[in-house]
Amino acid sequence: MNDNHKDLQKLVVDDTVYLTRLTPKFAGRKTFVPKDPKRICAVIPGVILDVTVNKGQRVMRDQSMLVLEAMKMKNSIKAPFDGVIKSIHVSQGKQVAKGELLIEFE
Amino acid sequence: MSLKSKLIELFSKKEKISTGGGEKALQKQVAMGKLPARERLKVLLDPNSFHETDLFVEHKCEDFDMDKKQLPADGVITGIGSIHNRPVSVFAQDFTVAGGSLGLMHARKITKVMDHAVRMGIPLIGINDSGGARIQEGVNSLAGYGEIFYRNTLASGIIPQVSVILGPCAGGAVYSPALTDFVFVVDKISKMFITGPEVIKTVLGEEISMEDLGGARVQTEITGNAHFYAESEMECFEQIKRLMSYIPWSNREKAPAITPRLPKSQFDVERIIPTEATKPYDIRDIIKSICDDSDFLEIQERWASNIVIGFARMNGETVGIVGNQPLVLAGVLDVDSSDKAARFIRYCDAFNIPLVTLVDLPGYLPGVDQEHAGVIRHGAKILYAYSEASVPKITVILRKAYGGGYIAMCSRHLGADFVFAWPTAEIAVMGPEGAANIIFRGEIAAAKDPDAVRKQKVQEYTEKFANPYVAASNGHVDAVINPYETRDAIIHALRASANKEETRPNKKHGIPPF
Repeated sequence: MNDNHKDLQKLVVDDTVYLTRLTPKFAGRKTFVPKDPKRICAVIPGVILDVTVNKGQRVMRDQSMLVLEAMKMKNSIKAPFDGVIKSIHVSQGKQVAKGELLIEFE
Repeated sequence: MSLKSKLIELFSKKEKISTGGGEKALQKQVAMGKLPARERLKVLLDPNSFHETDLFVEHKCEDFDMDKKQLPADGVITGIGSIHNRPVSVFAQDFTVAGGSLGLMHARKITKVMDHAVRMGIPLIGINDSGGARIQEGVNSLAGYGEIFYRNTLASGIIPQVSVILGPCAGGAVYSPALTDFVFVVDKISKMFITGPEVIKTVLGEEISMEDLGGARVQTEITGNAHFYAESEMECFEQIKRLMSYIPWSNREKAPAITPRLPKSQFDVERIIPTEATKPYDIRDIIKSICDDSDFLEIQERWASNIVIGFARMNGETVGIVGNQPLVLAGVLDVDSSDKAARFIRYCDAFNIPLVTLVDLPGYLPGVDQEHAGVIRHGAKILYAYSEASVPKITVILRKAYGGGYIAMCSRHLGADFVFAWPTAEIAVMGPEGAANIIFRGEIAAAKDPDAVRKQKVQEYTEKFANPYVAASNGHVDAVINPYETRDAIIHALRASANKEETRPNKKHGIPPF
């Protein structure tokens, strides 16, 4: 029996503050960031096979911008809307992780 | 040939096969800190109780020069032994023979003891130590896995199935343990994953060690795939024997009862539980204050520890205990804890083990990550499991029981047979702060001193609703009891429920929110 529990922190549920231990999973949870449609990120980890657009280029919706190979499939990453490319964060041959930023629109 | 020479032939054949993969491979096994497969069975089972089957089985593969290769016992030892003097079906993969790889005959040896276990109504314990499918046997080794998974599923809920991971267990091989009831792992020895570090590196470029990917700690702390963690193989076998002492041998019987013993006196309710609703304490101390000999076998101790599950005995008979843990995340229900409790409830229900639920929780864990992780679907599992369970269900509300959490924790409304509450119980739609802030929102906002008014309203709400009497006046709680009488109340309720019979509408099966 242990009356003095160390490592207690505060947790709020329905406006009430509870003293308790936090699990590593809870303590390490990511805060939610709303999706920014102008930032094109990798939905799957893989390798960039080809980049077919340049910085500053105007692209049309559904125009292919780059090819991401993942799980032996060549995925063509297309522009979600008409726009101008602000920056490209990858180049041919680069290994990307899931969620990694690939291209940003203006 | 005389009988004597025939016997000599038999003994020498047995001797030769029993050495497994030979001296060199054996030394390698020991160097990895692992016990040889036969030693493992010796430690696990009662002395001299093991009777081997299918020692002479040989593989039938002729491709890739396999016809010239002899694999003693085809890499797996199978048979019947006993634990606590009761028969169990066992298999132990032998890593010294072709890395314990699974071919068709290897699998058929396993399915034979599985079939035997189901027919005889005895538990199945499998020791896994295998590099995976025997590639040379091609699709036949996949067939072998499939035949095992199928039987694991059919046997589920009929006999206890225990998996012991004592080596690598990769790819398809992990799915048999995943389908069984209890998975045991040992630090630095057990490794479980679907795709190993090498594949992950080639495909994704991510580098990780086997240990960090799927070692014993990962499986008991992060994924919840394993139920028991041990520092050594010897400790692991002791844990298995302890577990086996609590559970029935099949769904046709009850768990064996032992001589009742009183709880140890150092677990004093008054010292453990704070009356203030926001202070933490360790629910396991409460469990130890009410169960026989203060002996509690916790399951999945290191994962989703905001809920505590495990076996204990009340008056000599096994019960399954589910308790919220105020010490961790204030005892909230969330994705993992709901999952953990729901599976345990279904285990107890399948094997005629009464459920004792100890309630003290502020509700479900708020947060975007929880909602997006599907807390609705996962939280529903606990509702489903409790509602479906027809074993005796006894609930004690110790302190907080708010909102959806109150309903979920085996409330009267989900079919609890007996619901007790301590005088410290607060059974309400939500905590006083939250409730007052909503109900009196207008009054608080309009006040000159909102904080003072809020405080006063919280106080009012607390006095009126933060108690067990509103629920008791509605019959949702059967009795408000003195905490010191908890054990007696539970034992009395268990005795009253001994012949419980609850029939349900006939159906093929329900559709739980898996």
